Order: sequence, then C-alpha cells, then structure tokens
Amino acid sequence: MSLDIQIEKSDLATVISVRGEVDLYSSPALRQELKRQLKKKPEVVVVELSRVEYMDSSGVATLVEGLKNLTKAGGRLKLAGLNQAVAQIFKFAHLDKVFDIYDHLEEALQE
Amino acid sequence: MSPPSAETARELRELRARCAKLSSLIEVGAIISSTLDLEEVLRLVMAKAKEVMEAEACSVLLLSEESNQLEFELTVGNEAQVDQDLKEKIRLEMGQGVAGWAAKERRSVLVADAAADERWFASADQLTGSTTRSLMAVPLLSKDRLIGVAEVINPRFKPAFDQGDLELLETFCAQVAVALDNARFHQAFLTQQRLKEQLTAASSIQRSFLPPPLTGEGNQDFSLEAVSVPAQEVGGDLYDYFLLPGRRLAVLVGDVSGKGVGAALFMARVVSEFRYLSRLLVEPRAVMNRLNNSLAQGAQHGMFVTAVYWLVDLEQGLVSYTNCGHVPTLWHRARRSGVELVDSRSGPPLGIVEGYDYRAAHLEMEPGDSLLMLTDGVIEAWGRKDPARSYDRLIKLLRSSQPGRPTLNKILEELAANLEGAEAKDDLTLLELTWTGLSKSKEKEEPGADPILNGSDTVELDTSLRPRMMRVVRDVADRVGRLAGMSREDANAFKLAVDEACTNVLRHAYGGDVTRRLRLSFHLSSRELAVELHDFGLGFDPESLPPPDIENLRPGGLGVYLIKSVMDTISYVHSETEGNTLKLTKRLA
Repeated sequence: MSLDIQIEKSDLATVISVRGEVDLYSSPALRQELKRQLKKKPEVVVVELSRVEYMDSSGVATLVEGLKNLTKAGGRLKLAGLNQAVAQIFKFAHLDKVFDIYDHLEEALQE
Repeated sequence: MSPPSAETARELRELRARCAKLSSLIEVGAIISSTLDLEEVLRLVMAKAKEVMEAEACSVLLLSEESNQLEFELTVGNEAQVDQDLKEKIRLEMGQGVAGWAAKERRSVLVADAAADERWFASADQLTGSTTRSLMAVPLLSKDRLIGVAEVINPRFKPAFDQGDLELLETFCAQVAVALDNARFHQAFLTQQRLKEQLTAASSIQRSFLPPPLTGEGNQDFSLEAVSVPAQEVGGDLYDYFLLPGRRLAVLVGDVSGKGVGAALFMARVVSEFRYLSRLLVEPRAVMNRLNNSLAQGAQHGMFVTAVYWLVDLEQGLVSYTNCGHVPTLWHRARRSGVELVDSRSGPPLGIVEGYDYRAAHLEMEPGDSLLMLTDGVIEAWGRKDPARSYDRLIKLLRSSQPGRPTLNKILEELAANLEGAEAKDDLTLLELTWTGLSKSKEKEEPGADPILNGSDTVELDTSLRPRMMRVVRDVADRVGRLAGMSREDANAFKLAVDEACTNVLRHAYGGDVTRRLRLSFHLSSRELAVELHDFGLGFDPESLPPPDIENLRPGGLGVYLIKSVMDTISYVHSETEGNTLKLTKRLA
C-alpha cells in the first residue's frame, strides 16, 4: 500500500500531509516529494504526520535529509501532529531536539 | 709310574698356565657380560687382558659408524698423554695398519716381527715413542657386525706372541664383542630413558597448568567438563577456566601450532599471559587483542595459536566471545532442542598479525544450554578430509543427548571406537560448559506455576520480506508485545525493533531480494519477550556496525541504533550451514 501525500501551499508555508505507514518501501515516495517541493525554494515546509501510524528508520532518515537540505538553503522544516509511536522514534534516535516538532499543524504555522 | 720326562713336565706346566689364563679370561668375560657401562667394560677388559697376556700395552679401537674409521677408544699401559694422543690423532681407515687389516678382513692377525710386516703402521710408534716388536689384532664381531678391533702389543717375557696367545685373545674377544654390544645398546637405552623421564616431567608440568574442576558451593548454576588427550607425552592443546569478579566465568580453549616440547612451552606462555590479561582487561576482544600483540612481538620459530575466549555472565547467561582462528563451537540449545555452529567472525590465529583488531561476538544462553568447545584433533579424528561430516556427527550426538546432561563421555566413546585402537594423530581437547542458570531451581520449586516457562508460548512466522508481509510482521509484533503485557509505548518500540531487524536482513543478508524467506519466532516468558530472526543469507552481525553519525546519516546505521536503544539484549549467531540467527530480547516489567 502506497503512501498518500498531499501538498497544500499558503502564504505561511508548504504543508506536506502524509497518510499511511512510512517504511522501507514507502519512504522513497516521501523522499521524492520532499525533493520536488524543496526545489521551489520554500521558506517553511511543514510535514504533517497526524495520520501516519508507523514510521521506521528509513522514514526518519528521509526527513533528516530534507531537514539538512532545507536548512542549507536557508529555510525551515517543521514536523507536526506526530502520534505517540512516531514521536517515540525521534526520541530513540535522539532527533527530537534536532527537529522543530509541534503537536498540531496550527501551532507549526503560527510559529 | 716313571717320573715324567723334562719335556713332558714343561708341557704340563705350560698347559696349566694356559688353563689358568683361560679361566681367568672366562672369569673376566662373565664379569663384563654383567656390566652394562661401556667405559667400565673396556677399562676392566683391557686391564685384565694386559695382565693375562703379559703384554706391555693393549688397546681397543672402535669402528665409527659415521666415518667408517677405527678410532682408539681406550689404551692400557701407556702414559696418560700417549693415551690422549692416540685417541685424538690416530684414525685408521679400513685396511690401514694391522688393526685396519684385521677389521677389513675380519680375521685375527699375529705379527711376530712388526718391523718386517708391511702392514705395520709406523705412525703410532712415532707418537708413543715406543717400539712395537710383536702384536696381535683381533676383530670384535657381534652377530656378524664389526664393532672394532682389540690390539695387544709386545709380550713382556718373550720376543714374540705365539699362536696360543692368539687363540686365547680370540676366545676372549668373542665375549668382549657381545659385552660391548650390550653396553652400547644399554647406553642408547639410557639416553632414551633420560629423554623419556624429561618428557614425563614436562608432561606433568603441563598437566599442572590445567585448571582443577570448578565445583562446590556457589557453583551450581553451571557445570564444566574438560578432557585433553595429547598425541605425544606433551601436547599443544590448551584450555583454561576460572571465575572472575561479578559472577563471570572465563574459558579459553586453544591449539598451538606444532607438537612436542616446543609447542608445550609456547602453550605455557599463552596460558600464563592469558591469565594475567583476562584479569586485567576482562573483555574478550581487549584481552585477545593484547595477547595477540604480545605473542606476535615475541614470536619464536613462527609459532602461533588458535584460540577462543568465552566470557560467561553466570547470572544472565549472556556470553561474549572472541574467536582467533579457532574451530567453531557447538551450541546446544535446550529449549529449542537444536544445535548451532557458533563461528562468528573469526580472526587470524594469535601471534601472526600484530595490531589486528579482533571482533567481539555475543550470544545469550537459556537455562540448560551448553557450549561444546573443541580442537581440530577432534574433527580430524573423524576424518581429516571432511570436517563437515565430523560436525554433523557431533551435532547428531548432541541432539540425541538429553539437554543439560554432559555429552563428553559419549563423544569420547565414539571417538575411541572410530580410531579403533590407532593413536590419534593430533592432540584432542573437548570442553563442555552447561549453564543451568538460577531459573532451573525456581522451576523445581514451583512446578507448573509458570506455564510460560514450559516453552509453549511461541509464535512462529515464516514470511517473505514483501511490503505487504512486512505489515503483517509489524502487526504480529505489536500484538505479541501487547499480549506480553507491554505498555503501548513499549509495544510500539518492540514493533519498530522487529521491523528494523527485518530491514537489516533484507539489506545485508538478502541483498534487497524481497522474495527470500525469513523465519521469525517470538518467545514469551514471564521475564522477557524475545524474538529470533532466522535467515539463510550472508552473515551480518549488527554489533559490527559503528554507532550512527547523525551528520552523515545512513538509514541502515540508524536502524541498528534504534534496535539497540529499544531492546535489552542482542545476540547474533552465524552459521555457514544453518543460516544466521539474530535474537533480540526485551525484559518485561
């Protein structure tokens, strides 16, 4: 089953909403989408993960790659709406302080 | 009766004298036959011969087997210096001089007038400063083998020796030859005996290096049996074990290159350095790295040793080990009634590559499990050409035995039967460590109180690594976690670890081939939830990966890192024949 990825652009940010399980097989799709959006030099990208029930290390690595590239280009990558299981992975990997993580999309956009 | 004529009276006197001489010689013969010391025999014989023969001097020349020359072994009647000179300076070729002639022809010689005899070798006279008038030479033969020549020079009371003197000397020499032969044989025997005594001493010293049995109070949580049979008096196999602080058991099994005394001395050095280093550094990898450097620096005659060091945590059953070129160990798993070959990532033998960094490997024993360590003498005893067959045989023997019961005797019996009385070509060492653990006694105290411990709480899953199946695996992992009573958070973490482990198999063992099979089994006990991933691909030890570098993140490295942060223990067993098993456990609250 592939990921469902939707893009929504506003004045504040580019929001990438992901739905499904991000694992070894589906993370390449997320990677591709991130690359495509980053080419447009957005200032702020929010990855909305509230409907992601599961993410593995390949998903985390994909987001790390996006974070590094966007930061280099002078933009910001934010994560929003992580459920407990996904938040946990970032904690295990000691990446919860590296990303800007928000409980809800609204908070991420307001900041 | 008329008085005997003057003629007859003289003959009678001579006959009596001859009889006296003969019996005297026979007496000497009896004495020398009973003496086995070579020098003693010669000195005794020559002194008596000189006396009986009424000669000025006599000597014995022995045939040197190396040069095929006659050498003066002993002379009687000369001054010490002359004796020395003869020994050092005169060597006769076969056929040279009277003695040489007697030796070559194997016949006795009587020379009445030396000066007139062309065989006479004048050099000896020049050396001794005396004049040889008359002499006799008789070959010393033993069972048709020429040993040397006996020579008697100058009768004191008459101008020349006669035929009667020669016969006497011949009679005499027949016995001397036998005595000499005996003495020589005895000397060789003595040398051999002395060597044997030294070997016996070396053997008992070597045995003293082997540790005494570890039994008694406080050691009921394991049993250890070892047997070592050297192919010669002293061997190159070694084993050692002792307890370290923190209820840990150190076990070393090794095999020194070569055999005999040299190998034994090297083995002694290995054991003493190991004892020192293991108490100092404890961890197998660190100990073996240091031991390797030490042996490589001081290596003599290209000696090296294959060895494996096991460090067993007797409270948890956790084992870490480092293998340095040694043959695989067999792991008999009580609960799974299976036998695995533990051959994880062996490095080169110790003492060859200075600075080599050996690997640490780990496994986790369950109560009743045992490790059977051996040396290649055991493998070769079943046939040098096919070690795989020997291992199959050993695995069968282990499988057919009750787990937790020592198998050593059974193996030895079979080995003995296989050798059929022939001596083993190589040293042969077996060491069996069985970990009973503490839970065993618990089990006895409350029989049936913990149904989870009876081994039936196992969920098995045989799957491919296709995306859809991976979702199933995650789902199963999640459910098993919940069933084990894990919190939602822990169950999620457990699921993640299982998933990452599968990903690793796919990446490293199967090269990305999602169609290959993976066997997963979840084992639930009251203490822990364990999962084993059994694959049939290339070996991959997650411990061998460095910690992830967040700056240069590679997905694979992060996965292993996640597994490590989630799970309590990780063990990995690689086997060429039976595939690889990665085992992860999570303690239950």
